[in-house]
Amino acid sequence: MITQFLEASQNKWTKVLIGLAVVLVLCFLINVALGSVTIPFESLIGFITSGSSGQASWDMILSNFRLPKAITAMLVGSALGVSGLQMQTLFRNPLAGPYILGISSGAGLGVAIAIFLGFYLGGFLELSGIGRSWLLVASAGAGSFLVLLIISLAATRLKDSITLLIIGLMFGAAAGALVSILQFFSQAENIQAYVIWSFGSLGSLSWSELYVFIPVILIGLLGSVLLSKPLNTLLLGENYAISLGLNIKKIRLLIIINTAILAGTVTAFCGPIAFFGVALPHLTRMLFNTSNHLLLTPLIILFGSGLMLIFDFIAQLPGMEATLPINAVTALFGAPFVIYILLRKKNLNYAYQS
Amino acid sequence: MKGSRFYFLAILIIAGCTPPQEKEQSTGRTLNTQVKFARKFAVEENAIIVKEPWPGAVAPISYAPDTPPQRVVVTSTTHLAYLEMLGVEDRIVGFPSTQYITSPVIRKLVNDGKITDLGPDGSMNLELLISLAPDAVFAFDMGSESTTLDKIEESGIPVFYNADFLETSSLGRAEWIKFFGAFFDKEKEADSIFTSIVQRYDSLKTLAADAQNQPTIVSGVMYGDTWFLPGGQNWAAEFYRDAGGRYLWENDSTSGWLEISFESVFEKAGEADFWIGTSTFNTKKELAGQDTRYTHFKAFKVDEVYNYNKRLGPTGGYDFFESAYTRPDRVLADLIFILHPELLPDYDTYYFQKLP
Repeated sequence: MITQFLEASQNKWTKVLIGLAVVLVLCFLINVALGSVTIPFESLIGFITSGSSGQASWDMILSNFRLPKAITAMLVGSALGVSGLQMQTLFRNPLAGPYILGISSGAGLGVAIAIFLGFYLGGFLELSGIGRSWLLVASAGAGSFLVLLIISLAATRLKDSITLLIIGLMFGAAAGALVSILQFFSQAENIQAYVIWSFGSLGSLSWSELYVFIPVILIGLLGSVLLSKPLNTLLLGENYAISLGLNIKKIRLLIIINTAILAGTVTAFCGPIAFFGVALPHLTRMLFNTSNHLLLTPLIILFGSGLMLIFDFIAQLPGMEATLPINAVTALFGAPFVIYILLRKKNLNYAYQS
Repeated sequence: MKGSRFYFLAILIIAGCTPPQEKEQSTGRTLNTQVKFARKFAVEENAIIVKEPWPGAVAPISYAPDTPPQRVVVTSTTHLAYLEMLGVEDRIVGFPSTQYITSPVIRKLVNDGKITDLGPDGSMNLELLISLAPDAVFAFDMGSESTTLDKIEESGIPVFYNADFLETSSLGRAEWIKFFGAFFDKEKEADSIFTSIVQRYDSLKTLAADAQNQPTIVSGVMYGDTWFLPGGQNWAAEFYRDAGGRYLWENDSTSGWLEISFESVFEKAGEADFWIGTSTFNTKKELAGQDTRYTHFKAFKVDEVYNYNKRLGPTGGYDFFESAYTRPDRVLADLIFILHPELLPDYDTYYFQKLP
């Protein structure tokens, strides 16, 4: 009986995952096909089959702009969704997200320092031959790494996960204050550059950055798949998990590092992309009616990738020259969707029951 | 003006600000200034009228200048340039963010302690300002400055709103020297300076009109994945046209800045002959380091990328944003030299230079 039931359920989930993968491929193709510049369908087919769309500028747009952007969108969507899920489960808090530990604040502070002291760094950069885009990535990465370090240190000492939340919150406040001081004494152009960074962007990565971005995010995603089982145990409550033989401190540290790699890398390359990481786990749990992390993690990877491709598609306002910041789109279109599903489901408790 | 590039953000914070409307009825000096190009101010027999003192203002403000002010605070680097041209820069006693001043004459006044730094732009140190006892404050209000300016007025120091940044034509903007001329009783000087600027501008424009070809121009850089470039009615676009170039967004109706996706810009301007105005990027290597996709532009490949960074202050302030608005003739000459070097054989650019 039980094996029969398991098999049926396995079949069902395999079908769901394959279905999602097909939808994802469609989203990917639509995202690449449509943008501000109208490229005819035949040229697109030509580009896919023979590598040339018949016009040099279109080849350049497709291969150096739309393709990197679509890949970035997928990785960002899945990375933020998965790290949001991990944080929600770790803290047993529906409001937790990838940035709850202060990772984006640390990254923001790093970037603010780099931008506002940019004039002094300019000469150094020219000498060392590092491009300015890498400077931002490095400073955001350094900022989030620093936060990660302090949080991990705290995590090995503290028994209670909730205390970590408060420490993360304090970091956010302190980093935010430092950023405002830097902004206060800065020139308008630099404030503009910082504000635009904080809007987030998916299209600013070129291939040279993707060569770093892709492997790091893939490693992080693999890590999160491996962490799914202990996460399931954590859902039962920390004390129960300990009694089941889970080394809670070790698992907590691994989860924090995994989240920091995913969310920190995304923030370093694309800026802080808000809302998505908090909302996506809820959406996935509610749409697919499961709280099993072995299923949720792959579901979120596929669903998050597809959804981010759609949001990016909206942000590009196809056919128009102007674009919207991705942060605005994720929240504007995501929030009503979440509210709708919440109202239909009437409560959130299911999420923290195994 | 430093703030003008920050306009699109400033506009977001424009609240319904209604500083007290001044209607001074004193018997001032008799003024004799003719305004030809500027649309945002006028001079009558004994009144200077600022028609739109801040963006979206509904009522004009009229000032009746009495004795010329002797101790003034100004708030924008462009004001410094007007005062320096009129030879009254020694009356400046305070300025916000003096570190960004590039003019050597005014820098010397700062270093000698004649001009006090009033703290950051937009949130000046009011106590310090009042303690300087200025008899006039020339200020601009792009929407967020009004609370500070209201406080200054409450303390009895007259605030004069300068709206030069709202002018849409380059000569109209430069004509604001007459606004300062009227206050400082330097009307004749202002008039003759402005007339010579107009004459030079017109003769340069005529020269460029004879150019054989009209090279295409792209401008601006990307922030994140969005390209910021001047709208078709922007101050910059007019210069490109008058210099005998074809700005690829000249048919656009925006007077501010456009935010456009990279692919649209590339499709339209990938083959543009010139790329003028690269924000804070001072070398081609820096541009390529920020985003390798910049290197696919024809202007980048054939080495025709220019920026307005020839004159930088000691801490990175751009002289271009300080004095270019008052000297449109210089900007035009620079651009003509870039687009059509054969028309100005012995010229050397003042603000612009080719990115190395």
